[in-house]
Amino acid sequence: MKINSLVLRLAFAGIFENKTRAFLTMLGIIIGVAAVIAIMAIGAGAQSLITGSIQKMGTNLVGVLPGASSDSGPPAAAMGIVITTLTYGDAKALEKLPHVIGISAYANGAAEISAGRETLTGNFNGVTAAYPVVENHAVEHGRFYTDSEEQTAKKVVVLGAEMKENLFPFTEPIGKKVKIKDAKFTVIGVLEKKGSSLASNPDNQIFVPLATAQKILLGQQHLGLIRIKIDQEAYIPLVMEDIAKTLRYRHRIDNPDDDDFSVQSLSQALEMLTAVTDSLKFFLASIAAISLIVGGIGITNIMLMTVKERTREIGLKKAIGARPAQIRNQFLLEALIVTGIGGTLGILLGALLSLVIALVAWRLEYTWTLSISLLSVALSFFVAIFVGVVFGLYPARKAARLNPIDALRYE
Amino acid sequence: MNLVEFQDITKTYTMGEMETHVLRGVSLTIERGEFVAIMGPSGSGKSTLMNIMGFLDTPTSGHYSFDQTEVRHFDEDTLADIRNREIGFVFQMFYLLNKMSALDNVKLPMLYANVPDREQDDRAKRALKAVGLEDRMHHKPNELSGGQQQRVSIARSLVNEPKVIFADEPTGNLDTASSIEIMDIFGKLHKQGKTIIMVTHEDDIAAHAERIIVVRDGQIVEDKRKALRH
Repeated sequence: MKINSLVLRLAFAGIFENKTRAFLTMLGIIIGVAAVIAIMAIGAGAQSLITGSIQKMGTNLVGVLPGASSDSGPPAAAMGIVITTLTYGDAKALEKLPHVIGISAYANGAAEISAGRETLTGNFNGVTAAYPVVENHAVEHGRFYTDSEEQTAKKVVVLGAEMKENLFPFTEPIGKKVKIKDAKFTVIGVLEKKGSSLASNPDNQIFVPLATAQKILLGQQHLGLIRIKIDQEAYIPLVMEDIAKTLRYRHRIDNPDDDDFSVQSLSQALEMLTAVTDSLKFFLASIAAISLIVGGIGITNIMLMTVKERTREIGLKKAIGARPAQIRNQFLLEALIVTGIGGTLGILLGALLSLVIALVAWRLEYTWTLSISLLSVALSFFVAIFVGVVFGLYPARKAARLNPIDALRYE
Repeated sequence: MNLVEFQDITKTYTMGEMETHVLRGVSLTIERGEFVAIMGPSGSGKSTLMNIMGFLDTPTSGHYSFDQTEVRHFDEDTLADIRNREIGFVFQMFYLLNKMSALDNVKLPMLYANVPDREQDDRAKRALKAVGLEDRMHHKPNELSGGQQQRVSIARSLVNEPKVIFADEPTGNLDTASSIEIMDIFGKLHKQGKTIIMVTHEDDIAAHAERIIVVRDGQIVEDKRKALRH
C-alpha cells in the first residue's frame, strides 16, 4: 500500500476524530522535544558565559594559590581554611622569571566602605601596581597607583566602575576621600567597566595598594593569590614549571607532594570547566530524553484506546480486504504523523524558549551565545519519530490481529 | 459452476464449559449467478452461515470450497485478498467511514488492492453512478439518507468487481421506499450476472431472490427455488 492522498486523508481523519486526544498525545512529544532543544541551548549558552568570562581575563595567565591542589577534593581555601604560605617575597621572586610580563599579588577582604553620605559593605582588593596590565583592566579616569606608592603603603584607592556609581553617583570622585574601616583614602582613579566574570565582579571592587591592604586593613603578611601574565601562551607549561621550582626552593620543599601552593593556568581551568559543563549538559539532555520516552508511553496508551474505540472500523476494513500489514501500517502512519507534528511543534517551542532565555541573558548583559545545535534538533526529532514507531507498533499489531467478525460486532 | 460448496460445516462456540452449536452440519451448493436469500429466526445461525461463506469467520469443522478451491489452511493475507477481490459485502449498519466522502468510502477497497490512483477515481465514480449517486459523490455519510448510505456501501462492494455480493440484512435499517430501491439495485445486479447471497428475516425482501434457504437451529430446514421469472 503506497502512500497517496487517500491514505493520508484516512490517517488524518483517524487522528483528528478526537481532537483533544490527538493534542494530548502530541503534548508529550512537544514537551520532550522542546525540553531537549532548550536544555542543549541553555547548556551551550552557559558554557559560552563561562568560557567567555575566562577568556576575558586572558588565557595567558597563570595563577598561584596558597595550599596544595589535590585531585581528591576542592582546594583548602575553598573550605574556609586560611593558608598563610604565600608571601609578597614569593611574588617578587616570580617576577624575575623569563617570559613573565607582569605579576599582580592579591590580598583582599570585605569592609564597610563609605564616601560622603554613601555607605556600603564591599570588597576591597589589595593589589600590586601591575594589576591593570596583568588583568587587562584599563583605567578610565585618573590613574592607577605606582610601584612606589604601593610599596610605601600610600592611602590611595582606585574604584571599579560600579563602585564609583555606588559611592559617587552624582560627583566626580578623583581627589575625594573614601573611608574603609575608619581609615581615610584618596581616590586617584576609576577603572573602566569590565563586566562580571564567573566568580567575581571586578567592577564592584575597590582597589588599594597591596602593602596598604596588608598593613592597615588586614594586618597580615600573606597573599590570597598571585597572578602572572606570560608573553606567549606556548610558554605557559614551561613557566608553570619554573614557578613551582622557584617556590619549592623558597619554601624549602624537596618533594613535590609536599607543595604548600598550587599553580594553575586559566586554560587548564577552562578545559576543566568545559568538561564539567559538557557533562552537565548531557545529564540534563538525558533527563529531557526521558520525558520523550514518557511521551512515547503516552502514545501507546492513547493508541490502545484508539484501537479499542475504532474496533468496528478495523473490522470493516478487514471485511473489505485489508491485509493485517495494511491495518498495522495505517496505525503506524497515524503514530508517525502525531509524533512528526509533535516533534515539529516541539522544535519550534524549544527554539522559542532558547530565544527567550538568550534575550533575558542579553538584557542582563551576560556574554551569552544563542546556539540551537542542529544535532539537538535532529536528535530529538528522530528520537520522537523513533518513539512513535516503537510505541505505536504494539497497538498497531494488536489492531491488525483482530478477527474481522469479532471486530465488526464489537460494541 | 459451483461458487460456494459447503460440506457438513459446523460452528461451535465454547464459553467456559458451555458449548453453543450455532451450525450443526450444513451442506449446500450455490452456483454462480444465483440470487439466494437465507432466512430464519434470530439465533438460527443464518448470519454465521453467511459470515463463514464470506471469510469473515471460520468453521469449526467441515469442508468449504470457494470457486472450486478448498479454502482450509489459507493464510491471513490470502483470506484478505479474497475478501478484497472476490467478494463484496453490504451490511445492515452500512459501516461507512463518517469523516470521508462517499467517493473516498467507495475507493477504500481499491486502496487495499493497490489500484493506481487515476483508475481508483474512474472506477469509484462509475460504481456510484451505477447506484444512482453521481450527484452525491462528495457528501459525507451523515449528509445522506439511510437509503443513500446503503447505496454507497453497495457501490463500495461492487468496485473491485467481485464474483459474489454478500448482504447481511441490507434493508434492516431502512424504510419501505428505500428498501424497494435497494432491492431494485440487487435485482439489476443479478440480471447483469452477479451472484447475490442475502440474509434477511423479511418475507417480502426474500421474495426478490430466486432461491430461499431457511435455517433453523443451525440446520437447513428448507431450500426452495422459484420458477425463473425471466
